[in-house]
Amino acid sequence: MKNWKIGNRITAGFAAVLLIAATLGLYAYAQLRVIQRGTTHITEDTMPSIDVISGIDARAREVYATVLNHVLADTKPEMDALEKNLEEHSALNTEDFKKYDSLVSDSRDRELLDKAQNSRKSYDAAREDILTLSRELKNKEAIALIHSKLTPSYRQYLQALDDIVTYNQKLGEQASTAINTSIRNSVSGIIVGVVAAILIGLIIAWFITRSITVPLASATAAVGEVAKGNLSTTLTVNSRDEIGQITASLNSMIEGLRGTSRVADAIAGGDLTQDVKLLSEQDTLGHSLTKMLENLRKIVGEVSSAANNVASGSEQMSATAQQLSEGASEQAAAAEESTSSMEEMSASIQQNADNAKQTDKLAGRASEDAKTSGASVSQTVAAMKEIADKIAIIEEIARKTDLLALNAAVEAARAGEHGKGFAVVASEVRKLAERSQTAAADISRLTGGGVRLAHEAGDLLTKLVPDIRKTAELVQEIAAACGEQTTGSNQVSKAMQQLDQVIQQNSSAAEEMASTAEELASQAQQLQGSISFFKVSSASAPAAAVTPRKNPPVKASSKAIHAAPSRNAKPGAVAIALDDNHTARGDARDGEFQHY
Amino acid sequence: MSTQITAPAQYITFQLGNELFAIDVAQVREILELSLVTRVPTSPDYMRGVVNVRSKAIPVVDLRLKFGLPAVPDTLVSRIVVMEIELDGETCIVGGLADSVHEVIELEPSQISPPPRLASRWRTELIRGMARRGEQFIIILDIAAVFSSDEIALLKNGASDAVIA
Repeated sequence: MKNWKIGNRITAGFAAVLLIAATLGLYAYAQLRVIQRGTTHITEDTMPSIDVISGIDARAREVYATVLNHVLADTKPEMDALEKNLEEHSALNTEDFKKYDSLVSDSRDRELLDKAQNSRKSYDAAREDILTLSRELKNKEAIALIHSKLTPSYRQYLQALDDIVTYNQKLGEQASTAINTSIRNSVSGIIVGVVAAILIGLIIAWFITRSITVPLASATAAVGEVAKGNLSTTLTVNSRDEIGQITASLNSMIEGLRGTSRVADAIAGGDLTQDVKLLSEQDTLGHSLTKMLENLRKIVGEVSSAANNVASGSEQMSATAQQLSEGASEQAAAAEESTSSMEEMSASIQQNADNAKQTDKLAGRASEDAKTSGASVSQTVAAMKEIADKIAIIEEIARKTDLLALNAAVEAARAGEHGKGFAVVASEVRKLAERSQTAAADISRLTGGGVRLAHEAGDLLTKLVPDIRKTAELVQEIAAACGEQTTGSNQVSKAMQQLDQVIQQNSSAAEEMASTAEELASQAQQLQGSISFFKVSSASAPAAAVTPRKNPPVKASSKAIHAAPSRNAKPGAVAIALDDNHTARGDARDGEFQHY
Repeated sequence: MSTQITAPAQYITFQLGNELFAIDVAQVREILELSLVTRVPTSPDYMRGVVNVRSKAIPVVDLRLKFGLPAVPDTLVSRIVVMEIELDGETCIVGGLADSVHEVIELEPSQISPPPRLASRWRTELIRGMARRGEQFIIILDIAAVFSSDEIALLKNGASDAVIA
């Protein structure tokens, strides 16, 4: 029983209960058959028998009455009608007897029927005799025959019929009694059967339930422990049913989990060299663990190389920060120089503005002066023209004088010796006139040129005025621009001061950065130490592949080859080796490097 | 061919174009400004016309045209040299229009050289000699030779016509 499968057990239990139910049903059916037989007998035999006999009885009485009426009747038609009626009844009774013949239930009944039919035959014979007498209207003989023969046979006939009815009634009572007995028996039998079935069903159910729930409870408790993470539980297998199988499976599951847990413990301990034994192809946890392990190996390798990179990078950063700091100091100095230059520039701009204002004033004055000069030049031109006119008169006079002197010289020459003194005077006068003429011509030429120049000067001065105005405007613009420049230079000065502050902040920030970089370097070293906690089978490829990236590619090809062994040799360094996959990858990368 | 110059004499110098000429001052009466010249009809081109000098008509000859030089417009220094020319015992008064009149100078015979024989532009019979004065040559004209008798007659007629007119 214990080694039965749960299905078999349940099937057996149900089969027992069903067997009882079937027995009960069969018993009830048998009882019902008895009842049915009884009732069928009553309804199909006894009752119709009584009915048929009652009909026969009634018609026999009718026939008796008809015979009497036939005797009483004295006309032929009356007699014919009565005879016809009589024959009909008699025929019906004959049919009924035939009917009853089929309803005869036993030998006694048959005996009673034969007796009734016999008495009917004697009765019919007596009746025919009477009818014959009656037809012949021999009423007295007829009546005497009635009394002597018909009535006793009639009574006998009726008695026989009555016996049949009585016997049939007795049969019906017997059947009814059998039915009652049967009903009583079946009621008590069914009650007993049902009670027995319930009891047996309950017992079987209790047994089956117990055989399932007890091992299940222990399995549930074990699974609960496993769910809580306690893998120390082992279940005892004491059956070979499904529960037993479940228990065995649970045990193997716990065993597998223990194995996984051991691997996880090893990983937790930093040992990444573990191999995960896959329980099957569908071992998700195992696959995940394998992947985790691979990823951890990869990540540890990458973290290690990243830590190396960070270490070297932070050193570089520190150096860079140092340079930055120095640069910031230089910037600060340059900014101070710029600031002082800006101040000088501001001062010169201010001076420019002042100069521009003065220039503006001067330009205004110059404009006025130019106007005045223009007027003066016009006056000069007028004066020059006057001079030219006057000079023309002087020239005229000089010419006349010259002519007079010439004529005087001619006169003197003609006078001969006496005119000699006069000739000298005339010559002198002529020379003076000539000089006057030359001077006048010079003056005239000069004044002509002067007038021209004055005109030109006037024109130039007239042109000069708008130019000077324009200059004044430009100078005003320059003054305005100087103002803007002043504000601009002030802003630049402020900006330079802010820049100076920023540069100083930069300088301090660079110093901080330098110290941070050093901190970072030390932390990277710490990280390297921390990551060395993980034991990877041997130097891993990612580190080897990543390490050369720091260096120029040309050097990298050689360094990448030497890097792995040297790293292996260092005890403090991360123990990383190229496993098979990664070696191939590293080689591929080396191949890349050889392109250079 | 005129007479050789033997004694020192005084000359009046005038200019025509670039050339400087001289005339014996004894032949010159006076120098006039160029004033209104009245043209004489049917007179040759070099006959400028007549001028009124103290109510006396004096013919004026344009010396430029007379000597075949191109005509130039008159200037402020254009002068009329009034000359007395002895012809056949008669004294004619003729005005010569010069570009300008310079001065009266005295020349020694040693300063004067005979006119060059091959002087192309000037007919040598009109030139009494050539005097050097500084850089420049002064051509001394024989004024009587310049004005032929026919011309004088013409001038006389012209002058009298003009006067009559």
